[in-house]
Amino acid sequence: MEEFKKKIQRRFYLCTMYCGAASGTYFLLQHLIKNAPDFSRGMIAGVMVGMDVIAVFLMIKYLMLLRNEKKLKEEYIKSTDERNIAISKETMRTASVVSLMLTAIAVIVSGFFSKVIATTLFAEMTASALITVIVNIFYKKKM
Amino acid sequence: MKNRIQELRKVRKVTQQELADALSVTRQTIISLENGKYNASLTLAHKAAQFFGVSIEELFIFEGEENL
Repeated sequence: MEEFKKKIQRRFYLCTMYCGAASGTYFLLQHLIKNAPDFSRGMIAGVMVGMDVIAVFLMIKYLMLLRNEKKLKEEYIKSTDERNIAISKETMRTASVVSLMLTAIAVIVSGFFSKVIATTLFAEMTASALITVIVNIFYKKKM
Repeated sequence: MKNRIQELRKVRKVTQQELADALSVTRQTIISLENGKYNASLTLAHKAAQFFGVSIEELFIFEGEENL
């Protein structure tokens, strides 16, 4: 339990550092990409703000957990519960297979309309498949 | 794999939440175990057997080649 508390504390500090670093990076980027198209600047701002909001949300959650022993214990049980772990593993496995299959279909369909989109999707699909194979090899050696 | 968790829990008048707390799992896991929707890991099976004071074989009934 103490180990879990330390883990939550570490996560809280990481989120705090992330918020600071992301805000700094954003303001730096604002000066560096002054001449970038509005769409690109908007995308960067959107992603940065979105990730900052998530980090702040997590910070509040971790702070509440650290101040309430009962909630901390509940969270510990929830995160170490073997059924929950099995569910998330199964979810990730199924989701990645479905995602790969849908991307393959999208590659075929988009091939009729746009060469650029089809090539991009094919590259993404190949990268995903390669990452899956590499991660699989890693765990085969680890276990 | 069948198990006698519900039976032993009722005999000992233990609630699902109390059992979940004792085994450090969620109540939903106990419900799934009792319904046979989820098979416990060796660690959880050991903890549950210890809690009820029986052997793993007495608590979990292995019915041949499941998931093989």
